[in-house]
Amino acid sequence: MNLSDFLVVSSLLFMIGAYGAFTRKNAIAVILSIELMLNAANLNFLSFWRFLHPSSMEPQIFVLVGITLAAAEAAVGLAVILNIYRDFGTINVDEISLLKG
Amino acid sequence: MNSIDSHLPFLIMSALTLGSALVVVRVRNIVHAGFWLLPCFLGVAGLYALLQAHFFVVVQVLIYVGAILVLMLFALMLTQDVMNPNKPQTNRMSLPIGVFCIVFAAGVAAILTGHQWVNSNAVILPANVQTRQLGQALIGEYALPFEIASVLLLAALVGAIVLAKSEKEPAPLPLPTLAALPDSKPE
Amino acid sequence: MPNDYSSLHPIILLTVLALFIIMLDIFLPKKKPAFLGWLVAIGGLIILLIDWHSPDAKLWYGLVNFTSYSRAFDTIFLLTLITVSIASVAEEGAMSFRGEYYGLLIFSTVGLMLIASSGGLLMLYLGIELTSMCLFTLVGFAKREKRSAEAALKMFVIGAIASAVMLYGISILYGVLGSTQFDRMSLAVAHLDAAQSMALWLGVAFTLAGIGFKITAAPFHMWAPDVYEGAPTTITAYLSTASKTGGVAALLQFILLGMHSALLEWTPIIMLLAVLSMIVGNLVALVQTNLKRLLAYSGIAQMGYIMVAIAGMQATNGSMSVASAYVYLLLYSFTNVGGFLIAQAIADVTGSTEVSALKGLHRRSAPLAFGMLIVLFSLGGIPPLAGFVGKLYLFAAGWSGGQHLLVLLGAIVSVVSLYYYLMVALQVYIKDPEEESRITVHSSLSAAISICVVATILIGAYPRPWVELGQYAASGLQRDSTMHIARLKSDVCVRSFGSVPIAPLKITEK
Repeated sequence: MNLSDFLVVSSLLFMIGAYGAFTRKNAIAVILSIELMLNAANLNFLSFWRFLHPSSMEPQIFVLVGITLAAAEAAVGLAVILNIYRDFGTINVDEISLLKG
Repeated sequence: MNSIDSHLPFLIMSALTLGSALVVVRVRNIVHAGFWLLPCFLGVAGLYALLQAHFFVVVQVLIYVGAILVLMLFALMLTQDVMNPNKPQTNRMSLPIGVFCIVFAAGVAAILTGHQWVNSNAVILPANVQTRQLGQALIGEYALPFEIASVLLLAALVGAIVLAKSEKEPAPLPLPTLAALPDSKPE
Repeated sequence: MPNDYSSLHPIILLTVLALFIIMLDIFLPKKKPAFLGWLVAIGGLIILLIDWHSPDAKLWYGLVNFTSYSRAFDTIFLLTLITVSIASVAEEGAMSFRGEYYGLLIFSTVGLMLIASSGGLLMLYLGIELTSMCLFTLVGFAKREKRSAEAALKMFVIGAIASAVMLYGISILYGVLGSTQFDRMSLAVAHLDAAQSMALWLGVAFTLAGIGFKITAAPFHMWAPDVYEGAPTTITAYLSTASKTGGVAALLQFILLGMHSALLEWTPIIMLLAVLSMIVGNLVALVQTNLKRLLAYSGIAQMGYIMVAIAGMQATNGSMSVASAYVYLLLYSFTNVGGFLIAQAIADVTGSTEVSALKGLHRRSAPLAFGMLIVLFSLGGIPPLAGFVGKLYLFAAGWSGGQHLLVLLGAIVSVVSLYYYLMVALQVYIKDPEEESRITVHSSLSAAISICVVATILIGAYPRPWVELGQYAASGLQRDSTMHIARLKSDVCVRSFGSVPIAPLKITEK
């Protein structure tokens, strides 16, 4: 197994996440899909670290940042969705359209 | 050190990751989608293990599976009645977007595999040295990103509390409380 | 003094200020105006002064760079924070979490300042995310408004996708270039055949998509009008100016520092953004009936004009592009904040942000009407005002960079844009009001509006110092670029950058 195999897995994971993020109606499912995308980026960083720059610290820091970001986004996202649920009684992204556009 | 010899574990882990990721984005029952995220994250942790990023295997399991996923499942179960699982869970554009994503994924994968990567022959350090190095970097050279990441988490927490807390002030319209929500749901 | 850690003081003090405000609010009586906004403004002003007195520094091997560039951009961020905070005092009585409101606003400014002083994609990304994370919450802050909740959801979903795409792009850039520090990236790009490396293109495109979201350049602008309309107006003012300025600062650093050795390769992407933003922004603005949406589309068009200047960056190594973009962002911050705050003042009385609510404004409040006129004329680029000077400078930068067609297109759409600005001015001055009652404005809000309007007139009347400030900003970015070239020429880079450790760490085995 070399770098290319890992990159293929990460690009597939990223696009599966992107597919979910753009097509899912349920707002929480959108967040789940975005988590997949972030995981793909982290996998990329660690693959590059392992095969290209094993002595570099940068990709590991980026992965830590990515994981922090995922946690922060989960917290804020769920609060935003809870707020929506209270106001609209639904979390279907397609049904929430007071703002024209 | 340019290749990892264990083919079978790699295939199992990537199949686990991608397969459960597909279920996550396609399955109609949203709580199931949340639970399918578990094998997906574990699969990614397995891939990290193959990459010898031992510290991140633990972090992946502890933070993603232990914290983020639990938070997600909590929210999913709180709101699961809202979306009828018998109706399609994807919007009308799902087919064109799906085709686009497949084409795009193929393109990205082709570009990335086609690039001339200069593989390194450096030795992968053992787990304890790796982790010590990371710790030293976090209090040394990368102290600022570490601190800013904490500020980011703090800001996210403050924001999440503000948004999620229901207003106690006399609002013009009484907002439904969480306990009353299942009754107010639409059919 | 390259290693002076006192350059970090403004960022640290601003974070402390945010925590202080959040904690102070706990002890203050609720439901009474506490003038926390004025406290934030004074704090911001002091920090601005400290910022101007802190030395240039390059910390942690260039992880963050404090230069004239970061100092000049910090000035825009802090001034916007100050005006928006002063204006927010008017809303304090109705707010249930005012301490957290100011705290998050300050945290987002911290993020913006980090963007301007970042020496690599790591700090740039963290800064962008810190800003976005605070703004997701602030957009949803009006919890009794359904629209505010919807705006927060829209911004969150699109913003989170954009941040994931950008992180993926950065990961590819890291793989291709071996580093995310701008100077090392530029060095590595010089050794690649940039036009041939599809992976590099992919990484740049994904990263630019993330930045494009922040600056609402078309085609990444879809979220802006909805979010601007639904968000509390003070936050809209901040979102449309400071946050966009941060995005442009990030773009300039990424392109001019990180991709410096292959500038011409990226010009077509910038040109595409410029053309789309100018056309989409101006044409859709023609049919808007809501003032906040109109200003949102006008803001998209303004970003297009800035892109024209950036597209001409290969001339004079980008210094004129940076200077003109800086001057424009500075005046645009005052003008646009002023516009949104006037919309806020009118909405406080009429409860509407529609353009029709402005009918006969000059009879209901002559100062507000005059302020609106100045803002509209400045945005439209009518001669004596700041917008004209700024736009002229932008187009001059684009022209000297050889982007003649883009400048021509910009001039044409600017004329088109006059139509919708004048239509609003027509409502203000010519139409009869539906109600005759006077509009009274909260004193803090009118103070903020006055600052913005006076600044707009002042920058137009005395452009010289501001242009010099722009050149000062450009010199910060410039010196770094020339340094790279010098290094590129001297250091033949025998090492394969594939295995360059970022900083050798001493490991002591026990």
